[in-house]
Amino acid sequence: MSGPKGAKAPGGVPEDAEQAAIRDRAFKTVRDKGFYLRQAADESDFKSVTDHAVEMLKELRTSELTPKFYYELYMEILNEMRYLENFFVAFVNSGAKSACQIYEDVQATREIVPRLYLLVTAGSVVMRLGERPNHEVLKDLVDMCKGVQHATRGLFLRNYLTISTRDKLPDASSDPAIGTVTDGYNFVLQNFGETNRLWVRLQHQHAIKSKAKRFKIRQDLRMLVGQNIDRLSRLEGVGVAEYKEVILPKILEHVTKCRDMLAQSYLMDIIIQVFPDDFHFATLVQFLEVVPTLKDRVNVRTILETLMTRLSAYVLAGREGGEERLPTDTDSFAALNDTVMRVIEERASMKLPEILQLQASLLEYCMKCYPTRLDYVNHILGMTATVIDNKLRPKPEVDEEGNPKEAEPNPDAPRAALSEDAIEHVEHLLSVPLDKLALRVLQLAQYGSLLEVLPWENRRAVAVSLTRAVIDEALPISDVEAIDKLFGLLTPLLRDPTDDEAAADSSAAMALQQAALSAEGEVSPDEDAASNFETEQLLVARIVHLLKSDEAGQLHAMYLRTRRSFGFGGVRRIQYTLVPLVFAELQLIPRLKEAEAETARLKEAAAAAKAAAEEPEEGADAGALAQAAEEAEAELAGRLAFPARKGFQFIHEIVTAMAPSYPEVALKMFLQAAVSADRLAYTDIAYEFMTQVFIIYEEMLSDSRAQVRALQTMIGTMLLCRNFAEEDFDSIVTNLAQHCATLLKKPDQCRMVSMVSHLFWTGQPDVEGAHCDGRRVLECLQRALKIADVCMASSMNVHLFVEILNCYIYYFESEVPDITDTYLSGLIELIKEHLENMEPGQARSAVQTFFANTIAHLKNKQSLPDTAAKFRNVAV
Amino acid sequence: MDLAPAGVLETSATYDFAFPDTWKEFESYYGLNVTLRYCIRVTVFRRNYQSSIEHDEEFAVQILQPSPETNPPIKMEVGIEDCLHIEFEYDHGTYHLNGCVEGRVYFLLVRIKIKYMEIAVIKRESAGSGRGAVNESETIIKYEVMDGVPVKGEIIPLRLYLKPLPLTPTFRNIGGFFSVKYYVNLVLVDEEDRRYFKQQEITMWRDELDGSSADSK
Repeated sequence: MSGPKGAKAPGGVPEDAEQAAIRDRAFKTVRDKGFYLRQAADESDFKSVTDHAVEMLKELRTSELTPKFYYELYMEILNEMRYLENFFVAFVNSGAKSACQIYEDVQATREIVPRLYLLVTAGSVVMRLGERPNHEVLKDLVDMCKGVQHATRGLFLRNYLTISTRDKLPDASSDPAIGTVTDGYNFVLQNFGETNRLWVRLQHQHAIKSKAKRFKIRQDLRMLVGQNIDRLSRLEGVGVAEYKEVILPKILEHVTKCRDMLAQSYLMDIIIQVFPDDFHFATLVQFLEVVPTLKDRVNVRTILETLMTRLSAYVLAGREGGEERLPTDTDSFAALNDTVMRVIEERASMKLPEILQLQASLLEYCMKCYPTRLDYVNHILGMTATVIDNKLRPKPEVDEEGNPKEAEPNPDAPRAALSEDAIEHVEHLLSVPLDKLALRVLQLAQYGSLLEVLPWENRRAVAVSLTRAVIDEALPISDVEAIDKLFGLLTPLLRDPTDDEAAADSSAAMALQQAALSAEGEVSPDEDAASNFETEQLLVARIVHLLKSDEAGQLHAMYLRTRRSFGFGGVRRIQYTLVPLVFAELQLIPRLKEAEAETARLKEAAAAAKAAAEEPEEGADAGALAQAAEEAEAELAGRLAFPARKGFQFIHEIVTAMAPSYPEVALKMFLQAAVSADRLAYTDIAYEFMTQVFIIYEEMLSDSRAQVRALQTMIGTMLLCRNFAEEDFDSIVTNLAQHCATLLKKPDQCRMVSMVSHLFWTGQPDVEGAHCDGRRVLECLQRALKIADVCMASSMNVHLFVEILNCYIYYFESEVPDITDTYLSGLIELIKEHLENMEPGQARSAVQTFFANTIAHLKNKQSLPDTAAKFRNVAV
Repeated sequence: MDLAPAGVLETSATYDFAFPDTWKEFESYYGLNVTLRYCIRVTVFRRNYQSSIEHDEEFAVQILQPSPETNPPIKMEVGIEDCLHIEFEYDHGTYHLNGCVEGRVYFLLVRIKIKYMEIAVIKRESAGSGRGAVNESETIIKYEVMDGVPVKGEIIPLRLYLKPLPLTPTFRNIGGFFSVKYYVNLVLVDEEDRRYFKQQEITMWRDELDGSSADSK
């Protein structure tokens, strides 16, 4: 409030400072009168005591104080009233007056407010001393208190009534003579009703000008109403039946009648909070019926959410203890869903984000309480999609008479865009079922339709969550249809948006633009975005490992499907997504081969059975044979047969597609495929793969380090292959050796030439499939020495010499006939010479150590009895 | 009634007397303009022209009445058009002096800002007749029965114990000379201190002797 300090607001109550002054004056009176009251009490002067009490209580007649200050005054007086009550009790016990007489006497007080405070006090005494049955006294008190209709004064008087009678309410545990639990709750209900009415009325009292301030004041006072409901919940002997038949209907009647936004919100909430959850389940329909009738400004969403949260927690807690707490006679989901639907339908003012939040809460409830009811989930999703559609569809134009101009709403009319809030909520809504359902989301027909209302970027976020859930759940995906559905939902992860799709979402458009620029190398993409992208794609890639099937053919079909979906992903995605697919297929191929054999066997068997059926041998049962033949045919027909070759073809296609963008990766995969093909003895295929490797190497690898790496893996791969025909192997190895020798850097050349030598000696001659050509090994090593010799940096060439020496030693130990001890001795001599000429320094000492270790190895060999003879002639 | 024959009274003497057949038709009453007293007068007549010695000893008469055969409630609907409309009800029309006025007020329409409501018990004494008649009203008690503004549909209880109040039975045309009547006045006061009221007569009767009222002389 504004205005000069201490001034009285025009027409309203005084301001805070002045309020405090008034309160302090009142405090003084209260203390003075309290003092005299005690004095009179000491003298057992009943008349004086009550007179002073009346004087004191007259302070509560003030209209000057706002509820906040009035409350302070009230609390001050409350202390004195406790003293007064004890005096009354003592006075009655002394035999001077009966409590009933006091009850009558105090009613002579002319002013109603003091009179009723005294009456309540006296009534409390009557009940304490048991002079009259509690239920009679309570009835009279609650009725008489109606005399105070002033909101503030009435509220506090009723509070005094509540606290004075708190421990005197008859309930199931009390003597029937003082009343039954029915009397108990009827009293509280009546007092609650009156309190509530006064509280609501406070909103319409214009002593306080600002509506907002009145609202605030009322909010501060709400406990005065709430404590009544709280008291009801704690009355012993109030069972479900009483709650359902009497208490709840009565409270709800007040809720409906008061037509006050704050009261409705607060009461609905407190009902949920104070009564036990099993009561709520028993009265769910009753309670929910009221919800749509609440005032427009009441936030029914929070009410329903609170209820659902409580109920679901209750159900879950029950399940932990092995108890099913969902009611069997009512379908709580149906009841809640109906209410939600009604609320949405009837509250035109309800904003879409609110609706979506509500739907999400309902969905959460459903997921918690009915985790198996996919139909419920589907229903919610479907309804949400419909609601969004309705809300976004432009309202049909209306002519002067209020009739729609067009009979049918135009389906092509542009729809309003979802607000950011709404988008967020839809996204949340779609994420709710993911954790629990993961793959089962695919069974929700409506999931996709709701997903489609989201802009691209948000769909992508949902897709990420879905992917994570699916991976965490780690359930196998085993049919093509599921794959299609899943990838349908994951579309935003699998490909870039089309221009239209991107246009609908500015952030997606931007992301796309940036991706395009970064692909051209013009700007470096935002690092976060890049790392997100990578994380997402790696997630998608992991899905591949969930694809499983007992039937190899089936699995292959699934991989085909997957490749098709991944194929739309563009260059940026395939490096992540296609690689695991290749490896998965490589794993599958041996099974495909087995299946192929199995199919062939079945075919034969079927043919044999058919033949047998057509020309039955003597004594055979023609019918049984025919049947067997049919069964064999049927089994054959039921199989999805993919020959293993198809598998390699699949890989070939994928890798070839990847090669231009990711030559190194493609090269490795081809090599891997080659090994696999070789193992399964498809040497022609293995050869083809190797050919592809060379093509990539020759056409696409220009970086010298990459070339070295490629050659290393190629050599390694060739070492693993066992089944190549001699001439194929030769041509590959020769090519390899040439490439090694034509590397750009001499040290690389040197090392690779020495490495390629291994391909000429893949095992002892007695091992099957081994390639042994000692002469060419020697050629390689000598060539390597020549190359090393021309390396200019002396430290480098000595190092290379020692490396080559080690190669010699290896072959010498491997019994390669062409490698003799003279070569070793010669090389050792050479190294020693070079070492002496080296500049001292770090490089030299490193080489020296390397060399010393090598020599130590040789000396060791010379000293061992097994090898001493062989190494004897090596001059170290 | 002669108590003693003429003679000389030298010591204290006690004389019994009785007025068995004297009809005390009316209750004692001490009002503003009217007093109805009973007394026993002792007169000692003296010889010659000396004045007689007289002494009055006053006593109170209270007349117990039978309870009324029927005692219907008072019900009434009053109002000011489009402004205030109430219905009030007193449980009875006749009360004994230790009784209790109980009733309730129904608010059917409230368009004024009521500050409070009270009931007042009013005693009206009228004496004399014709042109010389005197009327006097006295408010015995004002008793607040409601604080604040009720809303439509509100029912406010009324209860007033009569015992502590200085009341007499209703007297109607005593000796053709005076009457004492009682009224309950229901008053509504609005925020501008305008008063809206309706007065109803109630009849008072005595059902038991009341020591305190005799003392109150």
